[in-house]
Amino acid sequence: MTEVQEFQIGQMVNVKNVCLKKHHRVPLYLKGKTGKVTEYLGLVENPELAAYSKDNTGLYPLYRVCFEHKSVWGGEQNGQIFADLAEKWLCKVEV
Amino acid sequence: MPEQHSHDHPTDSDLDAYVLSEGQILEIALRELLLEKGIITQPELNQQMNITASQSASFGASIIAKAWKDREFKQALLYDPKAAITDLGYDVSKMPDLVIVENKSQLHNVVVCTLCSCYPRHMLGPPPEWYRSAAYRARIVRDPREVLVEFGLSLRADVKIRVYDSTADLRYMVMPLGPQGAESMAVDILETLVTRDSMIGVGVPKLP
Repeated sequence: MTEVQEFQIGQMVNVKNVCLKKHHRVPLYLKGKTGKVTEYLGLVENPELAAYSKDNTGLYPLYRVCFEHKSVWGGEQNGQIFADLAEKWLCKVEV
Repeated sequence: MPEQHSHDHPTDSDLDAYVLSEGQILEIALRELLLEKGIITQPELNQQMNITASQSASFGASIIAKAWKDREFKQALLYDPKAAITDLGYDVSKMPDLVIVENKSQLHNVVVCTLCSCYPRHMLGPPPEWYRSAAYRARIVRDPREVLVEFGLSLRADVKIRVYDSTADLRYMVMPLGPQGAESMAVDILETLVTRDSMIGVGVPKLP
């Protein structure tokens, strides 16, 4: 397990659009959406294994990601939504 | 709970009409197993229940009031909430990591946990029923401005709303805007202005 973060603050990321029935700490409404990394929050256990009390799940960087309200829902509201997401659920935005 | 717990539960006629939910049955089964296997003891369970029951929003309110009064403490609190609260002499070692987001005149923050009901219990006590409702969790991220109006909070159009969805192990709470001249007011007066809802972000503090 690497302690090197893949994403930098300010970088745009996509939330992986993968559906799991099990608890995995990524809300459905953010799947496939694009946001900006605003903070690095340290290392967390693999959320979809730790939720089932599995040990030694590995550690993953956790980021706070900011989503523009309109990029998630459309419309004209100018607000933002922040969520804390593990690196394994994020991927680089291909330019 | 008797010392030698057997599984012949007598039917209590007073409770006949009350049907346990699946979750309640699971909780009872788990609790009884943990006790029978000696993983937790009844005194430990009672102690934790007492701690949980004694947590309330008045603690959060006292911390916010102190921050309104004392600019230096406020900066420390926003920078590292647990360290700042520990420095006041409170033991918050069992509290999950806490983030306090500050409201500004043109920025309003509101907290939710869309996945379950994560809530800064150590600061605010048990969450209100509506915080755990599917309606609040679904709608506050979708249409925060309208949901806040339903709570009685009409924000000016130029106030931007930020919704914090507590999806990981961090807990969020809001530092609401203090009244004008808070620094020259008494902390015990300020405390009475800070409501639970203002620290979740669905309300604003009372007026002095």
